[in-house]
Amino acid sequence: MEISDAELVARAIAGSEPAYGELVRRYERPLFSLILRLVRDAAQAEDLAQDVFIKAIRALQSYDPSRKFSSWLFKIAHNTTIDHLRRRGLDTEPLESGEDDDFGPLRSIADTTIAGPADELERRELGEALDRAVGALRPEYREVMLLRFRENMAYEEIAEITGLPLGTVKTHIHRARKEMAEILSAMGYGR
Amino acid sequence: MPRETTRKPAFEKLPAAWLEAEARGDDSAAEEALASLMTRLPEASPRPGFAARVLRQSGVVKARRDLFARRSVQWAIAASLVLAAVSLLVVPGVVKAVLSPFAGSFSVAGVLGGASQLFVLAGRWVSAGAAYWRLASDIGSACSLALSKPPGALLLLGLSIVGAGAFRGLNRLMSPERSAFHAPSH
Repeated sequence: MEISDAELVARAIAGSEPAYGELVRRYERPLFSLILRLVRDAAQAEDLAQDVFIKAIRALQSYDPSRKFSSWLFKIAHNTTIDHLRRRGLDTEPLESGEDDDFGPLRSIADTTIAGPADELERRELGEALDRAVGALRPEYREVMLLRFRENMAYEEIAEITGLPLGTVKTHIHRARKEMAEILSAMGYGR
Repeated sequence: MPRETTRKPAFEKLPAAWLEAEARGDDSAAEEALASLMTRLPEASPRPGFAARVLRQSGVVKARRDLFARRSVQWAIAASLVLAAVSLLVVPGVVKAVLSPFAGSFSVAGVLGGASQLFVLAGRWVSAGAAYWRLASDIGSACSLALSKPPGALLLLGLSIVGAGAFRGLNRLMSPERSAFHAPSH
């Protein structure tokens, strides 16, 4: 049976090194994926993800166990990434999805649930199409879409993470869905 | 903007289900379908050893330090050196004190006899040492003769490359974090 996040946090605070390691391993991929899709640079994404975990570890004593650990961690990730984007001056510019994006780590992931080469090709096509569609969204839409539909978070959690009013989160998601549907339709899906 | 394409992808069940729900205006079905569709979005991994780097950087795990970098070891070495230097200063006095009870029993003949015995022993020791040096010299000559020819030199070069490769491989095995780039595991 998998140990809960709360239990791992309690063990980590008590000084268990493996508990710290397990917490990082449990969230490194979702966190890195989200940050990578926001900053679109693998090296920067890794540095930011590292910063996020270091901040979280140093602030672990102040974590309130009544809240979800994932929400707390993603909030740190949100703040760290937004600060970075602001410093880079990209917060108001939509990021275009281009061939020169540093997205190597995303492309090289294999899905072991796929059976044959044809399925693998189809999976890759769809994965790349989704990737382009998500990448074409505005950063603020992109983040809420990923938190909602990739991390399966509730609207309230997303509002807490992003610091946006609940109504704004719902509006962003609604508009992002419409935008993404148009993009995928333009790519030839659903015809 | 995404590129327009006329090709209809084969793997369209999930997108179609979502797009149909969106077109119908069925919000809950659309959200459910989109959540299923988004499971197909590729996930990324940081480079291997990410967790270990985080734990080290955050101070949870202390990096392995060089033995001689430890303050206690440095103090021990310094103390040993000072002790050795002080010992050298007091050695003559200690020897004199140890030999003083036998001072009356020494005679010129005895000292000369002892010295000659020491001289003989030293001669034997040097000749034995010379034999070892001769052997080493013979081995060295044989090696240099072999290496002065192309096959010998090539053999040495090959052995050096293999040795260096083995050392590098071992080094990488012992410190996996040094391999910066990787094919992400899944």
